[in-house]
Amino acid sequence: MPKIQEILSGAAAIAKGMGVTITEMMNPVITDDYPDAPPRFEERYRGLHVLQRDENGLEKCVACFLCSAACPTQCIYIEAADNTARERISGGERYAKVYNIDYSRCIFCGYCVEACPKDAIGMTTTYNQVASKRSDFIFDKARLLRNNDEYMAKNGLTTSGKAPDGSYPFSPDGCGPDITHGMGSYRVSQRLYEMSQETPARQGKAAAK
Amino acid sequence: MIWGIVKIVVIFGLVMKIVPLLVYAERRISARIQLRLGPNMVGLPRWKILGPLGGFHLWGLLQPLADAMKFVFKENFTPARADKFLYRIAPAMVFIPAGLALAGIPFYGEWVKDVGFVGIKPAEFPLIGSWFEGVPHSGPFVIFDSELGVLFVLAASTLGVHGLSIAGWSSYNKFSQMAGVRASAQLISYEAPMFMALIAALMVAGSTDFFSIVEYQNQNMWLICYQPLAFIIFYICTFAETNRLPFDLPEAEPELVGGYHTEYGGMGFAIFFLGEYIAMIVQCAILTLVFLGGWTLPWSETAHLAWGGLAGFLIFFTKVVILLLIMIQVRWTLPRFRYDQLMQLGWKRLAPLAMINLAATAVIGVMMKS
Repeated sequence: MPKIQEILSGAAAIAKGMGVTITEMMNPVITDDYPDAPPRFEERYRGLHVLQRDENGLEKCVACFLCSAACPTQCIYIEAADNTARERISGGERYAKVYNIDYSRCIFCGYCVEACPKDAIGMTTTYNQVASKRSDFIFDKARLLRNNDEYMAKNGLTTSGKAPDGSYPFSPDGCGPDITHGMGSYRVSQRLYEMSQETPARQGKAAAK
Repeated sequence: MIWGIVKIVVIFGLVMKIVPLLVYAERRISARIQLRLGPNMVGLPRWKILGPLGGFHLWGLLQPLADAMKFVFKENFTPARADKFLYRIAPAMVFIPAGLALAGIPFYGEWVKDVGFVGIKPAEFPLIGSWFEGVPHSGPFVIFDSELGVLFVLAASTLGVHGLSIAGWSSYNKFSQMAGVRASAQLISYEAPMFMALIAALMVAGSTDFFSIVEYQNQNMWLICYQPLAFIIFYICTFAETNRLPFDLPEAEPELVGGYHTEYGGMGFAIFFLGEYIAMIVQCAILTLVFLGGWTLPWSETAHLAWGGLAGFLIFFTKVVILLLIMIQVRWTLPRFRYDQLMQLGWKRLAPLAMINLAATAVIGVMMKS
């Protein structure tokens, strides 16, 4: 025969468990109401790319091919051309005449953003990339620039990412145009780390340079 | 005669509507416990004829309908080496006893003969009351009215175990067979304490007629006040009788694939499902009638007679639904028993407790009489 105490402790345990499930039932659900409402993203979600502009509205990309080289799926196709005095596209010497990203191959790893020396390519939280044809997955330069303009306008910024109060909210350090979205801050911390690792000799060398 | 058919149609129609809602409630409640939403999408289609209502999700209330359609259109597969006849008849052997037991459950009674569902008085229902003038009296709203109502319901509902074990045996599948063996052992073990608990309650009420038991509770107190232990034992055994967690060993998914219905698909599975949920409703209805005062309320002897007896039906129904919701919540709270723990609880804990309860009730009853 069971002891009374045993029965009571068992009953208490069951009551406790029922209490847990009741309180869990009262908690808000964690499901996104996706097709009816926009999904919630983490701040560092990596979505569609943008090609950014500088303060003068010129493209930042100088067609150095570093993003293309860094891309593990080789989905970035670039054709370079020289800026001329009459037609200035980018801030540098060259500009990208053709800049295509094939989103049927892109894996959104963000290496291109890390590789870019000019902070020209960045990633946004734009997630909606549906197409019915394979060729529609190839986004050309105009589309990527439009992404930038739309994304900035949506967030109330100029095309270079400048807020009305003069700050750059998407920039990792708040003082330059950059919307690399977390990847940027990752890169800054990486750079700080590398600087801390650099030997005095190398630092002197860099300074002399 | 005509009332008999009306009662069958109404009661079975009602229960057949409750079962999908119960499945829906189970899925939504389990989802909320796990911080999910559950089925919330199946609603009205985006047809122009529906106007602004087109595309309204209806909180997913049409999900059971979609499930039922899926069941209907699925292939009725029979394993090659199964015993074809028994394999096909097994779902019915679960479903029919459950439905049979339902026939003995009074959905509300009318102890006062002049007031009842269709003892509707025109004064009470100015709009439709006059339609019922001259209509013969419906009698108590139970399909099979008998003085042995409780025994009939129990006898019918316990027949369901044959369906389970035959389904397990005829499928020619080791998991199914194991589940069938478990089902027969478990159900028979838990019937003993269950009936002993019930007998104690029946001894207090002094009748096996649902109407007399409810009337006794209406005159005195609910039987749960006299027999709390019997109520608890009966409720625990209800879980075992309907194969619900924490006693769902005959269909333990992680151990036995799907249990006795592993090999069933389509409507065969759906009928098992229906039978199980109807059995749940029947067991909760017995609990309500015997222990929780049926269609009466403790603070008013005549509350159930309002609205021509419809109030009594609503009271009864509310109590059944509360018991069902507790069953659903327990399913998502407690883990499954191990088989030896199950047998220990049944034979070493519940059965002696029920026996002591029964003996004590008998002794006290005799002492109070003399």
